[in-house]
Amino acid sequence: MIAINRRPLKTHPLTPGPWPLTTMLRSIKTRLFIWLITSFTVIMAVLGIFLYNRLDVIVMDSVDHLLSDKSEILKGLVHVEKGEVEFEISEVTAGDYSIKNSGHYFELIDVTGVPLVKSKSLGNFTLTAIRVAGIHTTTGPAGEPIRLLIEDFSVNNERFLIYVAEGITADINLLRSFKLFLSIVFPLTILISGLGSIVIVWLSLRPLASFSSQIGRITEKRLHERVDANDVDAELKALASSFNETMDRLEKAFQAQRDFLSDASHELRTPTSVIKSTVDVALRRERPVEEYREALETIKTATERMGGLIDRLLRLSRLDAEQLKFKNENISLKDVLEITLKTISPLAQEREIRVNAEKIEEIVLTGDKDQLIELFLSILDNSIKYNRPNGSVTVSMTRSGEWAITRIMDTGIGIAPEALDKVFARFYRADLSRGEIAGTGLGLPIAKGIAESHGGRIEVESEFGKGTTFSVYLPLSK
Amino acid sequence: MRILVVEDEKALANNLKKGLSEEGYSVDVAYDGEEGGFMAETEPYDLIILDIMLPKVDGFTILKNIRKQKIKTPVLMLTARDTVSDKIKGLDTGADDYITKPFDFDELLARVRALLRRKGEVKTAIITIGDLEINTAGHQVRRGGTDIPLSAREYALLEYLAYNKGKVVSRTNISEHIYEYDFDLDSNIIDVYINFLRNKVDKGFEKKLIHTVRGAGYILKSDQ
Repeated sequence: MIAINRRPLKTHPLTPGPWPLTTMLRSIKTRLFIWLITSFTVIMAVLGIFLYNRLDVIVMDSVDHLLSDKSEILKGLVHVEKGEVEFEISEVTAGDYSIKNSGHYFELIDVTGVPLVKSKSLGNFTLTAIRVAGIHTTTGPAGEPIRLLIEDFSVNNERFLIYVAEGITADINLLRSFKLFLSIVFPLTILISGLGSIVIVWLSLRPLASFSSQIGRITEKRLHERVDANDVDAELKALASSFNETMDRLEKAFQAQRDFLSDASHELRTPTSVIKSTVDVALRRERPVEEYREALETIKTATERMGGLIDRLLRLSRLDAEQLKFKNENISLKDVLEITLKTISPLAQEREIRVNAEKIEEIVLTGDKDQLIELFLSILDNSIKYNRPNGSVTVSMTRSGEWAITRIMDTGIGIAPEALDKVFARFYRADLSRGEIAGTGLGLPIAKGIAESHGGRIEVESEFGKGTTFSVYLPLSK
Repeated sequence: MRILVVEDEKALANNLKKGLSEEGYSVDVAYDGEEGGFMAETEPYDLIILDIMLPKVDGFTILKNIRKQKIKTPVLMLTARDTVSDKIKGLDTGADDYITKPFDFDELLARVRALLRRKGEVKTAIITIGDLEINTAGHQVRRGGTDIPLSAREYALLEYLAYNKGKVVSRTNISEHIYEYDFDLDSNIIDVYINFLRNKVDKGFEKKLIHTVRGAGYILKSDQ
């Protein structure tokens, strides 16, 4: 026996399998269908009842008219002379009344119930079981349905009751066949319109299905694909264009992520290749100790650079994810700035840049001291490195409304207008400076992240060739 | 063989210079695109190792410019980005090969040798002239089954002559391809080295391989 390892087939959510009822009710198609059928049935039933009743009224009205006409004629035939009641009926008038069970009947009694005349068609049957004037539906001598008009009238102060009846078998049959017609035609109509509605529902949902298959084609690797908003029906256009906008944003975010990764790997590859090539070259032959020392120094520098880079990358991604733990303490911004200036002064001296502090106000706010020091260090580092020889950096700190504003103004090379919005982008370094000025291109993005997590922001103004001013806005109370 | 390295990462550029020099190549280094481009266009190099991301002028632009000027020097692209599009762009612009950072130095050397061979008729690592055998990968020189130890300078000179075997190379050719940019040229030194080589390669053999072409230069060939 060969055991066949059957893997359970994964059912695609779009393929209609055996649907449980709850799933069916969650389907637009099913709900639309049920809704249409229900409303159709109700409309058809109401219409059927109304039509049937209308026909009933019309038919009976015409019978009643006939009855009242005949009653008028018959009443005209009654004469009372000297207490004697006479009823003259010609053969012609008698007509149908003389044939037994002809469906045309009349009977005349006086008010006390004494029978006077009755049509031959009645035979032994009498209509006088009912004594209430008005219209009645009852049965005739042959057991057939009849319409009976009983009228109370008087001739020469003698009061009589006239009974006029007409067989309504034909009318009842007409109504019955109409009812039958309705009960066949209407459900049929409902059925047909139900089927029609399925088609309509299917047709109207088809664009949605093709829309979804268009969306289905977009994968992580084909993020640039869009739904053709001109190709979809008018109703779906809004959906298509908002979907496309979402995709634009997603693609941009993906691209930024990809760029970031590729930049990060590029930045890491450089120190890695320094280490690798140093080791490779050093190991190619026996060397004096001094050369090994030199190689190790090179490796040390590259390793430190890598470590710093990884550190900053990690910090940045934690700032993004808002995972960095911030202390919330009351701090003097003046102290923060003083520590920063002391830390940066060796670099400033080495580059022969004067750092002036002017108009430093005493400002206390809540924040993380270490983080704020790093924020100012990053900006000052930038202002010093991108400065001209014998240039200067001027720092001021003032209070303005809700904000503590720290301005760091340098006399450096400035930033080209088109690059101004890129200075906070990760790994961005002005092209001119690449290689000449050491840096990771992550300092300013980190500074920006720290400012933002304190509820503040950094603004930058620059004049190309003249200098740049960074303004750090921090809220006075969080 | 004279090589130009254009690389802004100074430590890496210095390692390349050191490693390649120890292999007997003459190496000039440029730390930015502007300087690198100028040197590539004005000096007769046998090979250019070119980084793509460079300050001032990027590697693609340098490559485009030298190819526009019909300079056919083989170019080995050094890329930190290993995206296919970068490699395609580099090769399409006129690069002969590429290597991704971080690279193995031995692989770089092998690629350098392959590119240097491509220029001439020599296609393998071992060049033979008569009974003289030069292994360019290991820098071993043998004649008639006996190893001939050579100094780096001597080897470089012999290798250059071997790559151009059968062709006359002038003293200027030699000095341009054997010595670095800042070498203070005294053409006597070439004659001195040719003498050293003759002593080691031709001395004691009946058939001489290194010949002087009066007024033109030198030629390495086995037939008379």
